[in-house]
Amino acid sequence: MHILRSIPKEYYIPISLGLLFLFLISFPLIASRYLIFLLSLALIYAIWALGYNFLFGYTGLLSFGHAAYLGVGAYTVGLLIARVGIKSFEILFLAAVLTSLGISALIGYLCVKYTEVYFALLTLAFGEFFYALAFKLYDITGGSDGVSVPYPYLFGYLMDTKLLYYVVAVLFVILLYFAWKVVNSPFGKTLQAIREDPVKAEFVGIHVKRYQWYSFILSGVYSGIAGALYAPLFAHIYPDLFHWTTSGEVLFVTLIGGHRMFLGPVLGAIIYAFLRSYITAYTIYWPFVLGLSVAVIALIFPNGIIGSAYSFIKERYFSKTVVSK
Amino acid sequence: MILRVEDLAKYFGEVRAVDHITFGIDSGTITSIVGPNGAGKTTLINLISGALKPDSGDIYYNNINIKGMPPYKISKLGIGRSFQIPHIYLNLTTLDNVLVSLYSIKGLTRSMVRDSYSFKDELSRAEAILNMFGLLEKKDMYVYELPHGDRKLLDIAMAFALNPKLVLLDEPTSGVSSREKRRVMKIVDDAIREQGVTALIVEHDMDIVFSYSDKIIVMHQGKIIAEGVPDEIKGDKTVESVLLGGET
Repeated sequence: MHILRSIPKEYYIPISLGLLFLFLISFPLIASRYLIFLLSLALIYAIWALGYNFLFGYTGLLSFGHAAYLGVGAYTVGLLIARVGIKSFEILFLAAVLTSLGISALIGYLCVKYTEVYFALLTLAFGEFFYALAFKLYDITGGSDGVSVPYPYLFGYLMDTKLLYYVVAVLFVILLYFAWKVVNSPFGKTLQAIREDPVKAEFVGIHVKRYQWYSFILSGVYSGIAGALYAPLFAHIYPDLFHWTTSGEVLFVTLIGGHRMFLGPVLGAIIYAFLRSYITAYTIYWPFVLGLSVAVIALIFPNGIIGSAYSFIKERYFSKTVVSK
Repeated sequence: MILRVEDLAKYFGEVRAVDHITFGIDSGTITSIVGPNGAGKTTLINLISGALKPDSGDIYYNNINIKGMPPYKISKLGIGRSFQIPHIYLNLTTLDNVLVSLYSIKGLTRSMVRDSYSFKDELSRAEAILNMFGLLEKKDMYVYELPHGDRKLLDIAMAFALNPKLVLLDEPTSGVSSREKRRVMKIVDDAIREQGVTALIVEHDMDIVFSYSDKIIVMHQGKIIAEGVPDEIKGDKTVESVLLGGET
């Protein structure tokens, strides 16, 4: 405790990120290939959920179609490798960022004109639109079979599972840090103000729809980056990436961890990825068991695991009585 | 004259909420709008602040016609407003509630990388505003922890953070205990006078209205039935009859 107190507060975040980075970089030295794959998947989910939470947790907009942007990122990378023959991950990554940015800007612009259930339904409809496209454009997308994706190259090195893991880990730390900066910036506070009371936000000079749109785009780009990493990890892209059940996954992940806590979606992603993997190995009824597990977690921890733990600690140790003057 | 309302009307079906009214407000004054429930007071505030679009008429603020402008543009011109039921960001701290208004008015809301507390000028301005409204000691509390009186004050403080020339305050003391009312209104009045702000206040408590207003406008069934300084309104029999529930 004494050492902790001697560290200035402004160093907490860089030190925490440094320690996290060290752990992630050294993880392949002690873990099996399968665990490396699983942690890659968990971190990709975490990037996706961090992005999703800009919109859901911080802006208060519930999207049921965020698989669309994951799918756009994955299909951009997958199709450019398989159909165009581009192997450089630097170019593929940039292309995925730009496509997800463009698509989310366009769809977001249309969706934020609506609120609540209409917004949610519109996002769902656009997600299903991409699902149908992936199915129907057989010559390009391979229809229901999807497309096999060969490993790309990063600066001339083959991106096998291990190198991909390092790329995922580095991007995760960078995007985690950026997300932290965003939510604590005036922009982040503005989004939170909109979530809390969009009417008031409008009356203090905030163009609410515009900021909801910005949040949608930011969220879409994070999702696209997750998709760009997902395609080489599975070496395969398929229409289910766009399906509404996939959109449901990112919502589950965010809720399990706690959408009101910054690290909630990250923890949710790690739990979900590992839980799903182990349940799948044990039973063919894994969707049922997984759904039940998520329901139990949601019932026990209504604010998500981190959210509920935070509320418990706050009430137990830091509760104070408010006295009116 | 900072605000001029000309032939303003707003109907909801057959109901004439605001029925072709005309009035003006001088800079640096406190004008109260009074009247029984359903007189059209809040509708009038909603029309001026942009929450509602008028059916006809004009609203001039500093000679700019703001009729039909969206609220975010109106507030940037220098009109702040508070609500009968406080509109505040419950899950943010008291300080953050005020800071968001300041970022907005200073054009900082697009800043995505700098920490929100690293803007020293805005931080000290926010603390000064909270101090003015007696909320500085509670700056780090989440707003859901605040009692009702403080929530009302915070709602008004957020309007003052916009550096407004005109504030529209919708029942600033409603829901506050009678003992608290005087404290709340004294703080609001001090803030108005200190900042040299013009105020248009909707209020039910006639003691408060007579104590703090420079001018009173009496509304009934969407129309203005009387207008004048407190002493003129006090002796007006028609006003008395309307406010006590009788017919005009």
